[in-house]
Amino acid sequence: MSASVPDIEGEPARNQGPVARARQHPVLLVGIALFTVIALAALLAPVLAPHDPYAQDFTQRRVPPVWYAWLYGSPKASWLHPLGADNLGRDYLSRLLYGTRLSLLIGLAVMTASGLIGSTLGIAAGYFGGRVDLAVNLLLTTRLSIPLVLVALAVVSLFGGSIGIIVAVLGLLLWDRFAVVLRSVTMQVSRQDFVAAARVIGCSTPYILLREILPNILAPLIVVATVEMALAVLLEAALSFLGLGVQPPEPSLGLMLAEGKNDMFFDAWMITIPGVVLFVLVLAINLIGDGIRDLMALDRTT
Amino acid sequence: MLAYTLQRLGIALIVVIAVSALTFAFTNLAVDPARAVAGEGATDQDLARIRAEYGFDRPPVTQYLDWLGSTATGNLGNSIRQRRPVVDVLAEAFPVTITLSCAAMTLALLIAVPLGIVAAVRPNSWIDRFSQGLAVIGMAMPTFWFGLLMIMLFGIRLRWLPISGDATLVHFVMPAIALAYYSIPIVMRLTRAGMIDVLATDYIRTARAKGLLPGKVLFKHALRNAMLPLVSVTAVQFGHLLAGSVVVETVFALHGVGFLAWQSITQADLPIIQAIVLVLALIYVVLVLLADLLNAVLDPRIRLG
Repeated sequence: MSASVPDIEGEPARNQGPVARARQHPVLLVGIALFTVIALAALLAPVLAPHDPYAQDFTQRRVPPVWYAWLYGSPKASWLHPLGADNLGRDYLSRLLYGTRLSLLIGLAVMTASGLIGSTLGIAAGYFGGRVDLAVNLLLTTRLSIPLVLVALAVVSLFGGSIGIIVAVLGLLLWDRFAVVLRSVTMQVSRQDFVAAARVIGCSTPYILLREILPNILAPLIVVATVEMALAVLLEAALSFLGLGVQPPEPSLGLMLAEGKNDMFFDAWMITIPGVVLFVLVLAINLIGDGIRDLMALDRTT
Repeated sequence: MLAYTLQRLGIALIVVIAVSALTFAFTNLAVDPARAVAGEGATDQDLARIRAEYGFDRPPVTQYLDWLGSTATGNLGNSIRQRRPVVDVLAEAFPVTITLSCAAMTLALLIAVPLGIVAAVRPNSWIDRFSQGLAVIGMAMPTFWFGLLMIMLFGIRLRWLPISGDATLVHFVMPAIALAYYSIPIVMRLTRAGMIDVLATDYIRTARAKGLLPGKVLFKHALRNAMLPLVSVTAVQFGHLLAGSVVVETVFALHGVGFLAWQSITQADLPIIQAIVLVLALIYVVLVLLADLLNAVLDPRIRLG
């Protein structure tokens, strides 16, 4: 919500702590609840998964989800594979759990890597200005003119689709928003009196950056981090879907969609189920980001 | 205005050179180009002969300048797999992608701008909430999954639209929607935020106070200023749409640049990949440059400030 829309709660809300305000924010709460459920399911995948996600069973190929037995009277569907089994007879639920785990792992790793690169560049540009700003700006413009999906695809295909390579490539490509947003907020914070005061009493530059600037730009940093994590999860899925990301037989949501694509004419659930999981995961991350942005009355553009 | 134009041009030029150097360095570091030409099972003598023949044994900087020189004159080399000039291959693919991107951009603007305006005029109304919800859903929806869902619904279940190929304009309907919805949330939120800011300014209050019709205030006074940031975002989004076409074109089997890129990547056809990355980067840089200049024309504060 834009800052110029009047706050319905009015002034009293300002006096409450961030946790109390967060409790009254439905968007944030829904986001956190969804994310917690997904993250727990992913963490507990080894306990929750009913089968080995790699185990093939050729007698169970393309078994539909259990509700096909109730709705359409499918004889194959049963609780043995609650969400069905893929064209190699691998349990869909188990693969979804491990796939979500992989999505979260890649999302978090890419967010950390790109966050470190982007915020360093952005803070440096915003705080020092001048030539540093100019150099960062050129770097940023160069990065933005590189077609993201294409270069990520090309690099992953050249170096192989290991998880390390995917994280490295996406981390090196997704730092732009961190740099743009942190540059502008750092610039605003640097102009404040308390920063000038810190300089006057002789604080070192690293001290000022870490103790005076960083705490004041944390909220936009977290919001951008959620945006980038969501983007990283989507991009990993897209790369894997195109066959140039996570390689079989690893369980990845994008790869499951690619493998289900050939059967989508007869078994639509093979496409809908992994897609819904991916959608809800990204939605949860975005809702958390939107909620924090609202709470902190940040600009929509961050 | 001239100084501003020259400054923007200078930045654009530096960026293009940086991208070209990166592209060249990267593809040559990643794979031995001689091995890529020779294919599987080449002997060391074969490789040495190819290196000498194609000039891969020269210093990298010489090779780069040579490549840059011929690229600048429009010679992008030959495709390794298709054994014909890259320019010809690209010329076949580009019209499809341009058609797709233009259709997607038009669609996105036609949906997002009116929604954003209405949402800004009536904040917190049902239409505002509806469009905000649409934006939240749009941001989380994977493009390729959205495409697949449309294929299943409109292509297979209802049989309204063809699901692959690019024979007629009807073939472009689903891909254009799949590509457009990605830009809709961004354009809509920007229009809404811009309109809300402008509607709160003094000159809008003055215009209303002197009794102008609400419609006139909205479209003649407010919209023109709210559209300024949209110019840049449209340029950036158009660049994204061109680059994002790789996913959509693969899903719908449209034989455009995105499909060509994907095909060339799986076949390790480096000259084509290099050319596509370079051309897309160039288009992006030109679009952003044009948007900057257009904004300077529209807004005197930029060109004089």
